[in-house]
Amino acid sequence: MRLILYVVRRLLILIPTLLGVTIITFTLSHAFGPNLAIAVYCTPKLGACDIDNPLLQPIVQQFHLRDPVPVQYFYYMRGLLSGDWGYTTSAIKGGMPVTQAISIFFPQTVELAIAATVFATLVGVPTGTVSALRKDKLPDHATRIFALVGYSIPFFWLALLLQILAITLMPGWEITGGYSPSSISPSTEPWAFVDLGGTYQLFSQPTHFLVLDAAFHGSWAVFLDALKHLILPTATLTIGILGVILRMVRSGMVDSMNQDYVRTAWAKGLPDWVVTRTHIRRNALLPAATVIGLLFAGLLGGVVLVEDVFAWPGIGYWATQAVLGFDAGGIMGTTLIFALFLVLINLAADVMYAYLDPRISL
Amino acid sequence: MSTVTVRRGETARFDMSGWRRRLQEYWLTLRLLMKSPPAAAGLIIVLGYLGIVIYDQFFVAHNDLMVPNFSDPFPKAPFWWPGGTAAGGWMGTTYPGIDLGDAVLKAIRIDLIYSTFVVLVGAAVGSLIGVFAGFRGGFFDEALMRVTDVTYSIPFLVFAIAVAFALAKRDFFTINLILLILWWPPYARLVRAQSLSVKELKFVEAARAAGASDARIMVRHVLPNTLAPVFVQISLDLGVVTQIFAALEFIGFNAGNLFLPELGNLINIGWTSGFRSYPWTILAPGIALLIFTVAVNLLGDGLRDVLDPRARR
Repeated sequence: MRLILYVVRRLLILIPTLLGVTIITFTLSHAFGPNLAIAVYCTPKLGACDIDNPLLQPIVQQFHLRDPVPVQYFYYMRGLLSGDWGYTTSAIKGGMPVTQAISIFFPQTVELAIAATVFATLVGVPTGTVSALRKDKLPDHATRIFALVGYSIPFFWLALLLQILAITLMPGWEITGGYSPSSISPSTEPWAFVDLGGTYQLFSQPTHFLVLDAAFHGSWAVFLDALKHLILPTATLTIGILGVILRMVRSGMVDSMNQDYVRTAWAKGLPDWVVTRTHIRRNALLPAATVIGLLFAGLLGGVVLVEDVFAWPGIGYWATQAVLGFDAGGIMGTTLIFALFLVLINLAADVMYAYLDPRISL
Repeated sequence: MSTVTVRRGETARFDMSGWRRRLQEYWLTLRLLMKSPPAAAGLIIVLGYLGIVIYDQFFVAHNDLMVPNFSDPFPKAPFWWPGGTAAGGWMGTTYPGIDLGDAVLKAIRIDLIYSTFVVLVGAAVGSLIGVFAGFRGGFFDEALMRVTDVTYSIPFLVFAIAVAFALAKRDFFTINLILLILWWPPYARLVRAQSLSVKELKFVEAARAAGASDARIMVRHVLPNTLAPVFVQISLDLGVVTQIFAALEFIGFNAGNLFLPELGNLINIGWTSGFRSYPWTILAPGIALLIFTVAVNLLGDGLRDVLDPRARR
């Protein structure tokens, strides 16, 4: 019951946060979006540039430019809530609605984020455990140096470095992008693409994750190809966030190793593995569980650069394309979707922490 | 009249001894810091980078411009590279004919100066806002918490991209502006949390009983006692901000000055001019960036151990 109240209170705090985020995105799309269109239309040939210019009437009406700014914000929010997120020009040649672009690009980003988080957790928790149990011995020092370098290394540089390594060790690899164009084509694998008026964009059915969908449809060549392209971006993000997980697990373990109940457990003569697993590690993993929420924040920032370097067709790639192409809809959409995602993940992490640790005051 | 003079003299003397005591405290901090080998290594490396900054500031001509050589534009490997020639300096050259060693040193100067500036301004502004919010509480405090919530709820790099878009510019000045706008909330949160506990302590009560004004209590009594975690955060943030500078330059915020010596810009040049054939063009600036971040992190961890024994791991 208290947990439910806690969730409700957190959701209520979320409202001003999300309102703040939409005010920012509103400023983004209205400071520059319509103004850019007006600047394009207002060439000297068309005569005086004012709001009564007949050529500008569609824009003036669409963005309600005659109304006061708060009213414009109301119309903007109404549009957002009813699914009208504007139009992006940079996502695909020819442009598309922002919501459609999000549905195409977002699964790709989530795929990378999930793969990296899962890998980092799978590697980080056992390694951090070993590091804490062998405190100040060689494995501990090695792990700590790796963690230090891992969270100090710039994501984009690591991505380039891994590309150089892959090319040197395995020449002939096509490693950028979500798939090799030579191995999949819209005619033989129609489930993997969406037809956007002549151009085909990667958008696989039914889960939108190419690796899973290829396995689902039984196309093992496509499956291997997709897996191959997933390796380097995932490795980059994994190394980047592994350092944080290692540190959290190690410091949590070292903390709980000095607790009284652990001494009691040893004194009772419990076997080593029981003490380390159920007494020490279970308590050390609590903070690590919340850190996964924070990790997503770091990951989402890093994803932008990694997708850019690997030409991975996700939200981050779209965001960099949008800022280079002065695409107001794209910037607004990517900012909003990243913010929504991050806020919900953080909420989930907090609720999970409150659920796992009964001592926390709700 | 005479009593006033005496009282003034006393305050002045007390201030002097306060300064001396503070200096002794810093000296103690430094000695404790040097006892931990990783922190000492971090400090020495950071001082080395500082030496590079000073050298480039005063002894190098054109220290804000990379010198291209269009008559020989293609990257040349340094002498220690397999099959490398002695062309260029000891790090080879990058496109178009830029001496990489020279450019990296200049880039370190630019990156360090601007990231230090951003972090210090952010820390100063954030600390003042944070101590005010924590001390006064009420509506201002609540508003501050919501504003920082908003800034925390957008991934930093995405936010920077969005602000750059709103400003409609992608040059180095814009990056500085964005970071100045966005870098105070962490400090405001940190100082607010600290001052919430500090303001309940006895010496604040004593100061109020002695008739000190709110402003004086905030600046002279609460703020100095919240600064230890701020120093730690500053040293950790230096690495983060340097990386963000590099990241933004890397994704194309180099409009206006393509020959600005900046580590991210150098990596971008290496990337776009064919890093697969010329790997050293991204290795040198990246390693310079990595070593600085590692050193700053070591120093920050060491500082935390010394300044905040509760958080010692």
